[in-house]
Amino acid sequence: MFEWLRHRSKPTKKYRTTEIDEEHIMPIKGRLLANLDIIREYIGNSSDVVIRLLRPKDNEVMAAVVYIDGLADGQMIQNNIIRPVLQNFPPKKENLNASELLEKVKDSVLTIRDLKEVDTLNECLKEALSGNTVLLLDNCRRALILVTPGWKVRIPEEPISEPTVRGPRDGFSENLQDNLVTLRRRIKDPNLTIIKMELGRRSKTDTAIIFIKDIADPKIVDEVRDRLSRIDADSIIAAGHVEQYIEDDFLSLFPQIQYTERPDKVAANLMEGRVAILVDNTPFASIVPVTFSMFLQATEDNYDRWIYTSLIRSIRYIAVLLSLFLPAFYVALISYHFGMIPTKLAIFIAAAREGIPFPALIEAFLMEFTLEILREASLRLPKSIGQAVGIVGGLVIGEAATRAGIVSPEMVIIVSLTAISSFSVPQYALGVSMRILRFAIMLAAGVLGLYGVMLSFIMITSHLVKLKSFGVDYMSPIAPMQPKDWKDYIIKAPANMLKNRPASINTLNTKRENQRKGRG
Amino acid sequence: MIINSNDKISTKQATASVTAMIIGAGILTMTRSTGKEVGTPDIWMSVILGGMLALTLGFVHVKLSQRFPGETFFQYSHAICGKFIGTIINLAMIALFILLAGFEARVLAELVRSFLLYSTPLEVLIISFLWVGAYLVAGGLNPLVRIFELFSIVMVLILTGILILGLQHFDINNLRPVLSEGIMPVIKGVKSTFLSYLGYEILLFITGFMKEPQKAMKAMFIGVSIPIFYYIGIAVIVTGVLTLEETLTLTWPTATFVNSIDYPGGFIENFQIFFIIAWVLAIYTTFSGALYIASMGIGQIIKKKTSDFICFLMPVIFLVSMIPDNQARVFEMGDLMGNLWLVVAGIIPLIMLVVAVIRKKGSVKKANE
Amino acid sequence: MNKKIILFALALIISVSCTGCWDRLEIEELGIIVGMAFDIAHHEDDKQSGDNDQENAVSSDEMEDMEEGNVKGNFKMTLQYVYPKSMGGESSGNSIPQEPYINIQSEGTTVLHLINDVYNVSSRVPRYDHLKTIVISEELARSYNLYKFLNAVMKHPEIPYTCVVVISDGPASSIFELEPDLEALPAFEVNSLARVVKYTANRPRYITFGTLARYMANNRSFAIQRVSCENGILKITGAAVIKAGEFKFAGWLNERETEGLNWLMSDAEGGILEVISEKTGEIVSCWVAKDDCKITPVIKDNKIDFKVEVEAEAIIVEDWAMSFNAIKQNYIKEIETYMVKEAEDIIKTTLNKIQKECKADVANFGRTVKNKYPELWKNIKDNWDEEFSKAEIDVKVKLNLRASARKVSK
Repeated sequence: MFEWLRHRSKPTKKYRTTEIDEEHIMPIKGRLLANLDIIREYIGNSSDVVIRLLRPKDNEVMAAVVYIDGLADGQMIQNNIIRPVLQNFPPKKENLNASELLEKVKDSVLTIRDLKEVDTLNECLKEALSGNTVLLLDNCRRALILVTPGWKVRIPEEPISEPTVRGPRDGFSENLQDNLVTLRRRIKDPNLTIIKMELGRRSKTDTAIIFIKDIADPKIVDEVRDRLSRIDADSIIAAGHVEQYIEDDFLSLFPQIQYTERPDKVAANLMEGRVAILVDNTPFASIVPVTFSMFLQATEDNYDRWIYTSLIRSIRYIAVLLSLFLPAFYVALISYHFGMIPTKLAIFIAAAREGIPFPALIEAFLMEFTLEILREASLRLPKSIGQAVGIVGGLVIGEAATRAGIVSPEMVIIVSLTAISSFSVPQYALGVSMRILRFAIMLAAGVLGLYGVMLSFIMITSHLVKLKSFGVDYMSPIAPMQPKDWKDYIIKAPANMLKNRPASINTLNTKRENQRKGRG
Repeated sequence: MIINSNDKISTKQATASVTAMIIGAGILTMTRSTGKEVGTPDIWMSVILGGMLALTLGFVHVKLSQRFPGETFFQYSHAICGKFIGTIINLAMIALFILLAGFEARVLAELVRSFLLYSTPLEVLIISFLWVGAYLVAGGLNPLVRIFELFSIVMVLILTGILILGLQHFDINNLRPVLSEGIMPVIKGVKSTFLSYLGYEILLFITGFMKEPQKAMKAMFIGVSIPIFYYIGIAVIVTGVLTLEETLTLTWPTATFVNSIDYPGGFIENFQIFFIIAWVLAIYTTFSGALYIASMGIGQIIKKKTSDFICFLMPVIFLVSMIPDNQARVFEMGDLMGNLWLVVAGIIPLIMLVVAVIRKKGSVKKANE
Repeated sequence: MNKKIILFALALIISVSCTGCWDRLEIEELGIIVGMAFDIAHHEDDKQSGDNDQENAVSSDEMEDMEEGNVKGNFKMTLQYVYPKSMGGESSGNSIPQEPYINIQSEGTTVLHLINDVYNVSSRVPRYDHLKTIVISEELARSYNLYKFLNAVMKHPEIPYTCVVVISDGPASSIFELEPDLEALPAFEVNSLARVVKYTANRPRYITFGTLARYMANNRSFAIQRVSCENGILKITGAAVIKAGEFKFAGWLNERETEGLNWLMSDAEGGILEVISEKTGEIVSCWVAKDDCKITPVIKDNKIDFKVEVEAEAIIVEDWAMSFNAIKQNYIKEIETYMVKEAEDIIKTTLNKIQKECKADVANFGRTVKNKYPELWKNIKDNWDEEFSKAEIDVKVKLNLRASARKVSK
């Protein structure tokens, strides 16, 4: 039964899977270059890792500084580490051995305010990833950690498109480097890998592919890199632009890439084995591959208790169904199958529709259309005016139209319930596709009644089942069925039960906990 | 044809395919058509026997398919019977599946016209249904089995709900006397229940695509047992609620049975419409499965890609579905199809298995090499 | 692949948009029918009631009428339409309050004629999906085979199997003209009233349209609730016996007889037993809480007899002698004997009525024969009612008296 699992976790040649293992201690070796090789092996794939070799002028001893650009303060490193080392290094004639040399450098060369000595590479890596600088000397089995925390403290801005109650308040900014730093600060794993590309023949927009190399499936990473490199465009302005080039099925109405403003969300997704794409000048990260259920999961789900989350999630699924099918269902019932409405309700609806000049389908279209216009209008206006539009739309049009006998009150209820349902979908992108589909289903209902609704339901299901996002089945974990993933699907199991990463995505490492036992 | 590794299907999916293929139009009229033959309230026994027959034939099918790993019926029929006879058998098989697809589409249209849309032309109902089916089948086997997986759960849920709701009107006395005329009428009824079990033949074609073909037997057993269980339930409850005599007078006993349920809550006034609408799913799965197998068969005979023949098959299926000129003829067509099916998909594979064993074709031979 | 999808989508859109909306019928364009009543039409020149050949739905007179193009049918159908405006919706101020229903009548020689004739008088398309009640007049049931008559209605796909069927002792149409008490419409009122069976035993279990169809298909006699209107008050008590085979009205069962029928059908819960105690000369009454009736056929010399064994539980409610004491066993035993006698009496009255007068096996004795002696049943089933009327039936009641939950004595 676990054969497939074993099959999946086979490491590929391209990236060596590496973890910082507390038990597996790597002492600093005598040869500087050997040390650097090990460091490179662990974090060197990332473009923001800086390894600088230093050759002091009066000595043949080599030294190296290792730090992460953006995390460490570059100015400080230049002035207080590199310059003193290059200029004031103890000359060769003093004939110091390696450890004396280190002492000397530490005591009288470096002008840095805080430093410490370590003797394992594990610690070196950890410190480097925390924003400090590692100074290594040739032939010396110890290294100096120089405290150079240098990330810029930005004014945290709450993400506008995805507000949360309990989650962190920071969002991505337009600066790619800053965004990468935010991610680094969240995942201090040396396996967090960043590959940088330039997109756009003229714009040369910096784009970063971010993944955790011992979790993410290398095939997906390659696919992303491949698709990105195949983009042949003059300029790439924003992430949304890139997404359109790399999505699987441009004809599909469903979003196949998820975007988010929230670094915590990206971090959580990276840990699930997904790949994030950050484009310079865009405060959004794109996440691939996606499944349908992801669009119904809010960031907040991870911070709330599981019972509440489970309830809310199941309500969201009902909301999706409502916002897709409710108006169509209503039209079908009113125009075709009035026998299905409970008798007393049918009488009330008939009474309310007495004197309405339009058939239900036209009425529904009219109202939905009005709603769309209202939504669009309030979206593009400044916030204060947008509220006014809402009031005008909701009160005046709804109330007045009913009074004037253009629409029935029932229809107003249906349309507003639909609208509210579609707003309750946490991802805006999915809401858009549902709004388009809603019109199509309404049309089908208007022509063939419930039979039409059912056919459109089958059609949508068939489409979703066929759809893939970067090789991952869109409808997983229900088609193909992966009951293992149901713990974090419509309901969310308590956190201590979510031990595995989603099975729908190939991951090199499927366990979140007990890694040593669970491998293979 | 090389079977793509992406096209492998799991045991669970194979099970769901069998269930989804079997549950279809048959259940709507099974009680009446069997009741007509049996004449006593022992319909459910015929249903059990019919299920046993289906299990036996399914056993033969799986055994046969397992002898030829990675191949479909259309391919190994050549190996067993030679090129000429093999092709004839294949063509018969394809014709049967086209017939099945046409029948399913027509029954659905008739059902919808009986209760939902009284004056919408049959052609419209059928064509719109055909397009939706073709859209799915064009995507190949994998989306198909996923739909099977998804919808079979829905079907099982609906059937369970109906059975539970029907229990309140159930009267065991309507099922008595048991075996008042002996076992003979029961055996006579088996043939007409068999029509409702059509569809388990899908294993002849998908065993080759399974990830673990050795588990095909398990998939068959569970996949056929689920419909047997629900068929017995429907036969018992429908006769227990409506009585045999009333059932015989009804065109769609199962649908009328749903109509006579006074179910609690009153969320929907007429549960029947809901049932019929939900049943579109069940017929859809059978239809698209049949369409897929037919197009796969043609594809493998002409050695082309499967999906190319769907557009070609659509008008054929449409014409087939329009052959009967009224509802009564539709049911006649169903009975005829059941008989043909018993021969082509029941007896022929049995003979083929015997021939294969005698001529040492299939996996035995491969093992020797 | 994408090209194909476009093609598919295009074809789908075309096939959808080329079609019309054949069945579209907005809810406000149709008349919601909640009640249906069947009568025999009476005209001044009509002397139907005494005729013997009423079996024939279309008499020769009618045929002539039809040929003259002047159709004066002998059936009358009354449909109760909901008038939604005065039921729901906003009260539009100054409008005169109107009845929430409109009764539309049609006449015809056949049922189809009746149904079709409605289209001539109703501006709204009649739809039967929400039909709640079917009322058939005694007169119609007396003279026509109801199976043949209702056959056309059973074929109608819109008519739900769950609507209630009752028989009225007067003209059926008058039931729909009553002022409803609690429900908004008379048809609703009849429906809700008919469904109350748990608390009273002087009416049989309600019969839905589906049940009716089932009984008729099984060729079985049955009792239908009798609806009457006395002084403008709707009332359901007693039952009408419909005899199998010809499916005609075969007589009324009064309240006491209906109660006996309920005893036989294990439906006597809610019934009343009243006796005068021989010792005190005062009335004692009790309420039946449970009733389980077992009927066993006994075959002796090719003649079928029956043994009826009833096991029941009753609660003493009234004792005008005020001497009730649950602790005293002999008192209870004494009352029990009276009660048992009364119950047996009730049952025997009923049996006498249905066997001798109606000659209809309303209590479904036939099924017990069918289940126990299927071979025998095959021979006699066509003539069962006759056979039944000759059967001797032995009634035994076993009653378990209880005190009420609140008081143990007095």
